[in-house]
Amino acid sequence: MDQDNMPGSGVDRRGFLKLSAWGGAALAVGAGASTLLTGCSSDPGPATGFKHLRDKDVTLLRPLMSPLLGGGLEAVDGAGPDQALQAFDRLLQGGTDGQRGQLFQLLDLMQLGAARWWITGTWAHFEEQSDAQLRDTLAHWASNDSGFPKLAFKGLTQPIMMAWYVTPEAALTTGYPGPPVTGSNAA
Amino acid sequence: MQDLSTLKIQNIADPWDNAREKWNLIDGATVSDDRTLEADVVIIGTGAGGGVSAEILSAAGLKVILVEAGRLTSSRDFNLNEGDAYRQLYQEGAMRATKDGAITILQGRTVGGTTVVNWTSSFRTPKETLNHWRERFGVDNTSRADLDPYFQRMEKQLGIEPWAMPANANNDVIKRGCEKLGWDWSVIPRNVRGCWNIGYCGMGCPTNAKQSMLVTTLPAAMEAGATLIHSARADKLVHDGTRVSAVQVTPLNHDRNPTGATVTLKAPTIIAAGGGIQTPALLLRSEVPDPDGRVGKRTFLHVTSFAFGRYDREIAPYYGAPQSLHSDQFTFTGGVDGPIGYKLEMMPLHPGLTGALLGGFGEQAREHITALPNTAASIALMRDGFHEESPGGTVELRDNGEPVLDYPVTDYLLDGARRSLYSQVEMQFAAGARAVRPGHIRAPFYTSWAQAREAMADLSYQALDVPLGSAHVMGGCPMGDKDRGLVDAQGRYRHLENLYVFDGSVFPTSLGVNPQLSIYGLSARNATALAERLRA
Repeated sequence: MDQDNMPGSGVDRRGFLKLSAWGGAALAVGAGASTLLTGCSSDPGPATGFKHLRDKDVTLLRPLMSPLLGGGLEAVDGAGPDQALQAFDRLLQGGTDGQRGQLFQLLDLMQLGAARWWITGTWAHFEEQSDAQLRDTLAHWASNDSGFPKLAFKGLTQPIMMAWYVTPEAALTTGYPGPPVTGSNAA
Repeated sequence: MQDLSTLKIQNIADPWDNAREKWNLIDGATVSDDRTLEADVVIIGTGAGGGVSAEILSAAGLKVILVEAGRLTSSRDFNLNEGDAYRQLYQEGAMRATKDGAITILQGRTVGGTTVVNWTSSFRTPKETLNHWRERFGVDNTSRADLDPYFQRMEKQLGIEPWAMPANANNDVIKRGCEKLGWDWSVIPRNVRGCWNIGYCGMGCPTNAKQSMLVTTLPAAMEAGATLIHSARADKLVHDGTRVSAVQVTPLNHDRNPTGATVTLKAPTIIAAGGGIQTPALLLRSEVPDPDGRVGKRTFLHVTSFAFGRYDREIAPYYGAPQSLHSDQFTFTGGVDGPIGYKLEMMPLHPGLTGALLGGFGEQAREHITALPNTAASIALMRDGFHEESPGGTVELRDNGEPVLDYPVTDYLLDGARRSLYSQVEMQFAAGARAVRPGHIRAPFYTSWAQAREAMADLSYQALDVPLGSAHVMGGCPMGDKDRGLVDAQGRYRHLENLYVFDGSVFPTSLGVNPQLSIYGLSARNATALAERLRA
């Protein structure tokens, strides 16, 4: 074992990187990684209204929600990207610190133009891309056969898809009629 | 169209009603002061191994303390909301994955463990597997003849019988496909009593029909005087290299963060029953004696591939007993230790899990998920661990002590994934599917078996190309003789004299069948013997 630290102990930076797939990727983008590491030691905390996602994550991911869900968002009355991000945040509530830490490493990495280019094929921040451009970005990313972009695509899109379709409102748009009624609602 | 959304489930008797008044129950979230508790036996974990052991040891008159990291929730809390279920009842919120992200792992994290969320399939351990353990790992006195009385006892206790009602349309794919192809298939024995056949086994049974540990062995142990401390994580075994003196426990609040208190549990006998991944992680954190460096190695998953079929008729894969038919056509075809064999079953599809497994993005993903009512999902559970090129995974600790499983996806496994995808696609077309998509990120829905067979030959079969899952974590603390086992066949840890391991982590390989009955039977045998020794 590298360390036998108990929960709550400080994170050793080198150990963290060594153990982490995203961390290995961070080193691969070179100079940009130092920005990422600085970010690691000064966690800004969750965005207002969120338990886990930070302001920069919300800003990064918001533009992706509609093209990613491909009509799934619009199928729910009154739903927008923020509802999807709230659903993602609720899903993350079931996770663990170590697991969320890995996700944040990926999200931190994707703040960097060089990393976005490597992973998604475009330098531009998602906020600066039109919906059509974002669809192209996602298509390019999804078809990338390199290991890390493939892992990043799965690591990010799979939980977001899950998070959205576990919401009762989105679940009903799939043709699923919904579960039986339980508890006080059945009385 | 099948629609159960107006079905009302009410007035269900819940054994945990008034539990705080009638039993010795401690909610870790309310523990803010350090305390020490003593007993004859401390059991870490309340799943298949811990539940069975607790009942047997309590019935023998021993004072038992159970400690469980998950929260106590029971039928009155099970609201059939998929998101709530994942967040509350599953390890890592159902987002657990192997270190390289290639295999998603569904495992329970609640009082009752995975038995609360499994799909009820209950098989005796195959003879082939037990023979292999004896020959290759020196596991003695553990043949089918040795275990059958305990399987029989647990089958009787948990109402395990082949499912007598008609299979739902999803499972009927096995029957129709296999009959047409001349393949083996049969009915799955399920641990249910008075099952409503609604299909929510994976979210906690709201009718208490499923005979999980939550409604059987655990209430029996509590009634006999056991103490349960839930929302409390066993962090470390305190030991001097020969004996364990205590278990150091961290109570957790509702957000699963430490309350700041420490609970110390002391007993002359300690049983680790956290299951695969959790038990090895506890042993690693505790730096137990392990001269050959075996703890956490050889962790197996029944790595599972998927295929989705689209049918003209309604399938409603979210309703009805989730698993009722299976096929062993390919389970032992290549011999016990040849090319990897796989068992064919179906999986229930609810919208969230479906969204995660179908993959893709945008309009195509949306088109796939909106076909849910007409979609069936088959799975193939690969028997890992029987071949030298199938060494399984290794449990490691993150810097904060959380476990993570490093499970390299080998060529041997990928060969099995490829063959298992062919079998599933062939079976679903034979069952009448209009289109079938093998679980592969580059595969579309094919419209005929001929087209699929040809096109699938051009796919690459690599980790991350083939989405893989697991709902069966086994191994990491294997039984075996002195040279090969960390525990003996009675579950005693070879390097600490009063530590026992009664859970799925003792399996030296995977099983070839869904594991719950194997864990029940082996734990019942070993806990019965332990109770006799402790009372002598």
